[in-house]
Amino acid sequence: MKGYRRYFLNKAGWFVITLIAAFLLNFFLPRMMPGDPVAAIVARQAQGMSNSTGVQAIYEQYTKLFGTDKPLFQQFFIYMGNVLRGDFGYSFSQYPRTVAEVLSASLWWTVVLQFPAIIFGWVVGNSLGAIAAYRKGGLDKVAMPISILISNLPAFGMAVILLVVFAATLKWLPASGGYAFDMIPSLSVNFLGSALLHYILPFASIVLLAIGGQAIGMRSMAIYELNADYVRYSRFMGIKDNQISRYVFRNAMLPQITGLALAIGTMIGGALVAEIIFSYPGLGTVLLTAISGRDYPLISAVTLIITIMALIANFAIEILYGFIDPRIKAAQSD
Amino acid sequence: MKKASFLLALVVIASMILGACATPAPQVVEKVVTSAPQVVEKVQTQVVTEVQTQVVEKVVEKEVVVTPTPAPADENTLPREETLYFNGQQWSPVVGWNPYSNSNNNAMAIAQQDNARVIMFETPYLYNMLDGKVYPLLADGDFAWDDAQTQLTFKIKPAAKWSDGTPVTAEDVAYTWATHVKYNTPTGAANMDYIDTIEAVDPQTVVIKAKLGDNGSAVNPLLVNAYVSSNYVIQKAWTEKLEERVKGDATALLADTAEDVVYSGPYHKFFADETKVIYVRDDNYWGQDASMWGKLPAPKYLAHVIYKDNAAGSVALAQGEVDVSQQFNSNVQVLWENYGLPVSTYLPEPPYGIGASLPTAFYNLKSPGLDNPAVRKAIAIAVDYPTIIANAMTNQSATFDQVPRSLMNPTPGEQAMYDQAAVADLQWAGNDIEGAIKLLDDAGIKDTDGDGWRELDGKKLSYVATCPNGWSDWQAAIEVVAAAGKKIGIDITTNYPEWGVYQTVVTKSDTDLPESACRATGTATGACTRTPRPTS
Repeated sequence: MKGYRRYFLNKAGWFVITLIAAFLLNFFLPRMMPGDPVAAIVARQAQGMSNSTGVQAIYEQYTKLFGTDKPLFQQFFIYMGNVLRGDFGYSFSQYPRTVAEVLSASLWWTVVLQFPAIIFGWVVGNSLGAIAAYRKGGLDKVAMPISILISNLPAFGMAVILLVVFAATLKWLPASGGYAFDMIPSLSVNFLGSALLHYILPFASIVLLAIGGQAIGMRSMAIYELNADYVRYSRFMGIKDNQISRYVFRNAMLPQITGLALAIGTMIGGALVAEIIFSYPGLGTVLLTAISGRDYPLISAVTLIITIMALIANFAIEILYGFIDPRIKAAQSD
Repeated sequence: MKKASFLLALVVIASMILGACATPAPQVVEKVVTSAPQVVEKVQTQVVTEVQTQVVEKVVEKEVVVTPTPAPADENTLPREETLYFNGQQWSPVVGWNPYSNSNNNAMAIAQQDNARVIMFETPYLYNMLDGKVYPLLADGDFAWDDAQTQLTFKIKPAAKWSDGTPVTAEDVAYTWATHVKYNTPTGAANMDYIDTIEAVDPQTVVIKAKLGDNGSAVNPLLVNAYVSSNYVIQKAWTEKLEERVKGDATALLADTAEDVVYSGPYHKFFADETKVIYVRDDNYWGQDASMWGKLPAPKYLAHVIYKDNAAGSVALAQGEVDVSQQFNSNVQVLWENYGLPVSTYLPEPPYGIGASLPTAFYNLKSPGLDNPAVRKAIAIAVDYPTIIANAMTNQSATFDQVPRSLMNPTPGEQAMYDQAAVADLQWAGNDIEGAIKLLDDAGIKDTDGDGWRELDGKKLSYVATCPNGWSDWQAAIEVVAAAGKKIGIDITTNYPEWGVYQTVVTKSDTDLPESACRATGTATGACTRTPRPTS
């Protein structure tokens, strides 16, 4: 177990270093964008005002409230102290709402949309890829070009195609929103049905891309493994095909697991396009409006969530790797 | 982009909500709701007094009334026939219900400006931009100035009530103003240079004393006039509760979301989330008194779904998910001409709507060259306004022939206040390239180094024209301005930053960004678009 401990400590150390670097970037990068968020808030507040001293007073009040009158490094330490207490502060663009309120209203939409889509796409894509590699023939010749085509569509392209075909032209499915325009969220059958109906297109736009990408990756890995020396050797040894395919699958899976971890970690980034095109009320939409509104606390919080998710996913996978793949442990133990 | 609209002018919307056509259906509902308990009581008591038959008849009568009321399929679904759907006013989630703050992002319920919306909170008077007059709402009769025009007096309607049933009084009006001043709210800051005090003489009578200048007359009596039609009356008792809650802190007072607010208008919060906001009628609304509207507004619910942009809003309108659209729907006529949809506009012919806001290009006078009137005027007369109207505004703006441009709205009421003849020789129709070239040549502003652009004092005339990204009609308009510059040898490039960045450019363009010369701006409050006209 000594090897594992060293491996774990090593990974944990990198995790912390990456987190600190990401935290710094999350704070400073948004603030380096051109544009003064307080000017935008004041412009809203001061609509219709005809005396400039009044406007100036409002401006000063908000710079003081948000602390943007202080030097940047001082703002950073205040921010850090607050974040450690779990307080992300006020959202600038949706003031007086707090960042926590804004996020809690939209986080679940994204998680419920993205998580099943990524898992589903991963499972189906890998199965298809493995089958295609193993069976070859017609399935491979038809499925692979289609997968390549689909997976190379940009995410917005896929979403727009689905929107135009199934919502605008065929009118089978709703074009936008998280649920019907005339409903109020509840646990009634009608509402859940409506939410499910609005779920299909954004879900499909993510799943299709994921299936295509995963299938291609799995197929290549499986073909590579099928031609590996150990497979031939096993055949010479007279080991059954079933047993061999299990070896192959285990080896081919490794890079795919990394892919899954990264997909889960970056799901908010991936959600952005689907959510925006289908007007889905999730974190992607929040991030976009935060960026266009120069809402520093909200941008920092959303990117921090993305960062932490990506880091945790990676960390978990690397730890898991140590158990799945004995080679990694062996390398660390040296 | 979010400023423009076409369907119904604001006044029509207000009248639809507040006064007009109460259809029979909601009244039926109303009767059933209020009379049902009475019937039950009567049955219990009158069985003893042996006049049962009468009562039974009554019950039957009530049942007949009840039958046509459609039972809602699901209590979480708004009944379509009792809900009026809007769009064009709410582009991101509602964040508050506080009438002291401008940060509620709750445009349908809380908008205290030239065209204050009064579905939840009410102003003493309503301004009608079609005839330029004010009409009493909470106020009783017209307001009156004293002879010296230093103080304005009006009365509050005796029937006016808050949602908690207490009467709206002059003391509420006075306390609202005192609170605005005490906590330096946007309303307070905007008006304290013009209004000295607001006092309650008696429970019904309000006196507004104007701030007086050195000469003893009111600094600006017209802004005092505007105050009574653009600012809500807020309940004193609730304000005191709020002050206690925030312990006198001004920032906390403005940041309070005021979910418990007391209001006097016909609608209040029913539901709000990231995707929509819904208001429900208060069936005890005082305005059903004969001294006001005489009945309740027809829709039980007002709903506004949040669409991501004008295009999404237009699709919803075409699909029948929107009843009143107050956004810019480009080429709106295709909805009925090509698709045969039952959609109509306030004006049946182009420009389809009444212009209410005035997109205007402002010059930055600190920018080298723009301090010269000849340069400013040359750009202004060279711009092809008919093209802006035809392309950028898809003809949803009055032409220069219909209404010569001024800073007044093209409504009869405002045009009547303006003497077009007196300024006729100062007007231009645009697209006057030759005139602009001659003007510049005569002023000695010429292209001296042969690069195609004119110079003034050795400096190339090069400017940036800017408006927020996504305001598609304005962006198209600015491109036309840039094209005009090219024709007369003035280099105008366009720049469309995000709204937040744009605001920085606007507030700091005097010092930091001397290149940002032309800037289009305007209040996004109107019900319709007008074409930009650079002012010099």
